[in-house]
Amino acid sequence: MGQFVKSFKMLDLTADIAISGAIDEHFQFEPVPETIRTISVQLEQIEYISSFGVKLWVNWIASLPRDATLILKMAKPMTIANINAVEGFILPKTIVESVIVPFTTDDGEEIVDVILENGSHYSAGGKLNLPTITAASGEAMVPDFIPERLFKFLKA
Amino acid sequence: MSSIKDYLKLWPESNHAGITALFSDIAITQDTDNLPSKKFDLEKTIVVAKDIPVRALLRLLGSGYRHIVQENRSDLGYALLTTGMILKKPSLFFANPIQLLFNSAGATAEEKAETKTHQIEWAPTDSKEARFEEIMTFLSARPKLKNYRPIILTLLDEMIANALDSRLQNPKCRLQVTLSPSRLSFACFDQHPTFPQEAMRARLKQLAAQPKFEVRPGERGAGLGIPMMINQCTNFYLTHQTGVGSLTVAAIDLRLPLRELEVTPRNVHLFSV
Repeated sequence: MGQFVKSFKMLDLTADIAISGAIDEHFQFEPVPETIRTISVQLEQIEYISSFGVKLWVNWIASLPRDATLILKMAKPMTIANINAVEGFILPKTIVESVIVPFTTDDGEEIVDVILENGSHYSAGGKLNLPTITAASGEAMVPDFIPERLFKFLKA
Repeated sequence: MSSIKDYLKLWPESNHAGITALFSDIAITQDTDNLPSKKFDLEKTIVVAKDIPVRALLRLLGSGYRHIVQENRSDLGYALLTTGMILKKPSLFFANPIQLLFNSAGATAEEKAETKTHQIEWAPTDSKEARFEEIMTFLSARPKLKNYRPIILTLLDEMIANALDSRLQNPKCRLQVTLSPSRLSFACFDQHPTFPQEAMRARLKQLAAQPKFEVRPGERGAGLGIPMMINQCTNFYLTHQTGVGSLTVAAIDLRLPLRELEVTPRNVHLFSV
């Protein structure tokens, strides 16, 4: 079952949230105090998001302070796909601080997860600067995703 | 308007007579400029599209078209033949979808021998997590599928959620997982006696018109299940037999790397038996 772990620092007006497991009809999002200004969400441990989970997520986003800044960390392609496709999946002020994406050898036999960071590997406007990843064999690895599609949200 | 004659080159000449007979009362239209003519019998029309995005698929489905295949995929012949066979004998597909899909693919004896199947009779009281792990354990025979985990779990969740919709008094479903050298397929049979096809098409048409998908308000689900399932697979079938139940089939082409899977145009079928 999915978990929503939160920690509020009321003096700093920040919330640190870690979401893990399945975001499905059983997932329970929790409210964030109205005074919070920055909400950081760690996404690395999300297994998958069902359509019901998308609805719960959108409803949770709608409950957040509207002018808060949402910082998404270690987002995986499935989360990014929802950012790109679903209305209301993020706040108006949202920063995708980092993403975890697969790189693969040409034959698809070796896949590694690579962390890309906002500012270093991608930035607003859609500018990309993907790293060079080499397999243990010395072979150059390629992104096992379509960068222009994944980072479409940068142009929004 | 096209006809099967335009596509006969996809098969050996020895098959042409049989295929022409199969398609004798089936119309084929091309989705040119995204404006297919509506003068065909929608029940027996195949739309051949060329690399159209999921949103355009939803528009066509919302407009009433049942079968959409993609011209620029290397398996167009397979897709057309499968669809022709479904249109000719929809009850056969409903009874044993994977067998029909295999037969139309012309699977070799070796491929059939290497194909494994796992079946689950799923009740609402079953632990979803336990059943998902049971399926992932079955699929661990192919190490590559570890990287497909989010795709697989999303597909399964959507299928099971629809099948075990609590509006039924005693919902049950049967899930068949088939792993062949080239494809991973899920077939989910449920017992819903009726199927809100018109409401579903209206919803798909609505989604197609939205710049970004909007979740459906109210107590029930998001209304995004079908586009989400289509996005996770390469071939998608959703059919229903009144009084019997529904069948959802999602197949993933395992010959494609994940990045190509992402952009490979989908073949989709939404019809009644």
